[in-house]
Amino acid sequence: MNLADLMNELADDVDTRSMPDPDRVRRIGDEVRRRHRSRLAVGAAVVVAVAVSAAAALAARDPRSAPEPVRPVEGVRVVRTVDIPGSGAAFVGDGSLWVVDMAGGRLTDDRTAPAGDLYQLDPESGEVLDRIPGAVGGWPAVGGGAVWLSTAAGDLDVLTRVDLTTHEVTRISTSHPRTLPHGVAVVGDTLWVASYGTGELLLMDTDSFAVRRRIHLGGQPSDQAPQGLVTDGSSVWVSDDKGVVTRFDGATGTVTSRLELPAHEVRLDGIDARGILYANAVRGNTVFEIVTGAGGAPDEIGRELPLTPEVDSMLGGLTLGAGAMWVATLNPDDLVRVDAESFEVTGRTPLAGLDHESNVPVAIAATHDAVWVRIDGKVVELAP
Amino acid sequence: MGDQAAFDEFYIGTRLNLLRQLTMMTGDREQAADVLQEAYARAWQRWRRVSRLSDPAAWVRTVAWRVAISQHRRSLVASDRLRRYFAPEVTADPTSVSDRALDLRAALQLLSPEHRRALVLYEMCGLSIAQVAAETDVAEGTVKSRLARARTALVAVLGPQYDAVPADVGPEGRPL
Repeated sequence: MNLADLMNELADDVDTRSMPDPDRVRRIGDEVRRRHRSRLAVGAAVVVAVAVSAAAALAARDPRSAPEPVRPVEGVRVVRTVDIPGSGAAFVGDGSLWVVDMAGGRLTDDRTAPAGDLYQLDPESGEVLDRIPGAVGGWPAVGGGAVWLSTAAGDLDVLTRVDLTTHEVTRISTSHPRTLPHGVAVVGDTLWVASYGTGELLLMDTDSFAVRRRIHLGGQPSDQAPQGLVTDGSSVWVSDDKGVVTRFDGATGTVTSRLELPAHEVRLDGIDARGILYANAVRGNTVFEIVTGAGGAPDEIGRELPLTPEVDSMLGGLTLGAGAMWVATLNPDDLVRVDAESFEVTGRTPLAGLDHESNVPVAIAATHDAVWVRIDGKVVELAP
Repeated sequence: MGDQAAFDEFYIGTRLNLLRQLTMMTGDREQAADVLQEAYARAWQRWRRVSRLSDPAAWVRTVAWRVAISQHRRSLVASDRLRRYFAPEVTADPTSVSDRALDLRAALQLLSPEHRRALVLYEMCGLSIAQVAAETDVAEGTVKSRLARARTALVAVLGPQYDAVPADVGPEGRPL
């Protein structure tokens, strides 16, 4: 059989319906050229601003720079930079900004604890308030008087609890044999823990850590696995790898609503004061709105927002605060401002210096008036 | 003819063949359409220069391939990191691989990207060894080696009935 003929036969059913008309291609080309020019100019401004702040911090032998007004960068002002080594999550909770240095997921020399640290910062001043050794991990949550982190370091797969008052660190194994927890939510005295490996949700006592109940998302343990947890303080929403978002009563574990998004491997990003829940596919670049039902009404899928026209772009991080939704995209590496009311992109700033090897997923957090982004060993505060 | 009209004519006249070729090179029709759209957009950005090339379609094909490879590499890094953070790896089902191996489309996916590209350029696009070497920016000997290895791999999966003409002979009427 002739290989060329066979290849052509295989390609026979390819048609150009998926290709845009020439006018659209030219407009994309024109837009890319315009943005490329704009990006070069703005990127240079950001690099200069960050360099100036970093130089000031080094000169003062202080890990943070003094608040330094910087020229507006497409509507975003670089307020300060704080040097925090390594990479890891950044999140806001209990009035503090928390930043994790994963230390590469290594253990201490005696192999008893993770080698990294959790930094507590004052978001108003940028001052480092405390450094808590051994408290590292992802899927951060704050509730029930503690910071909770899902910790994978060396051969440790545990849930880490950091007491908000004493900063005492406790490590809890949530399954036997150990599997890595994948996020927590706290409702009253119930600690919800997602376990991707076993495909189940554990409802634990926040004090004794005794497991009160196990909930399988699917009919079998391997059917569906939780990808993310979000709570509003009374309900808990769980997304799974099939794109199903389930709402539970946070106290009892009863299912109160369920819907399926047109995506797989769905991660929940947060819920705002209006009760709008935001979600995205792990490898996608689209944010979905889920309008959560009031008074027992079922949740409904709301609007969806593609963040970039680029085919290979991905959502790298999302946070709510400072009057908007802030999303870090990869390819292009941008900080995107989304107006929550209109659900439209209202600003786009290049994230210069983002290293995909060490800065992905992008650690991004927001307070009421500022956005914090972790870039290459620094936490940069941006003010809209 | 103005730039715009010339580009539109070029786009409409070449997109089907290039889409077919890129689909075979990448093994993914949607990705092929995406990277081709980007390559055409870049061609429009530089149309005055690209239009004067001896083979603008080859330029678009090369750019589309590079975009595809770039996407592949970036997504490997970023997806891997996201995946490690958000979810552990799920082991692939090995039985589905052996089933798909009966199909040429799947067999092509077993080749390395560069071997697959060389094979598609030579067999499907009808380029000579010298033209494949020029487009892929390697020596002619490398092209022959890639074609030979690609064919050996395909025969190993699909059987000898799929064997093509050896690269050092060339199909009838095709210059080497």
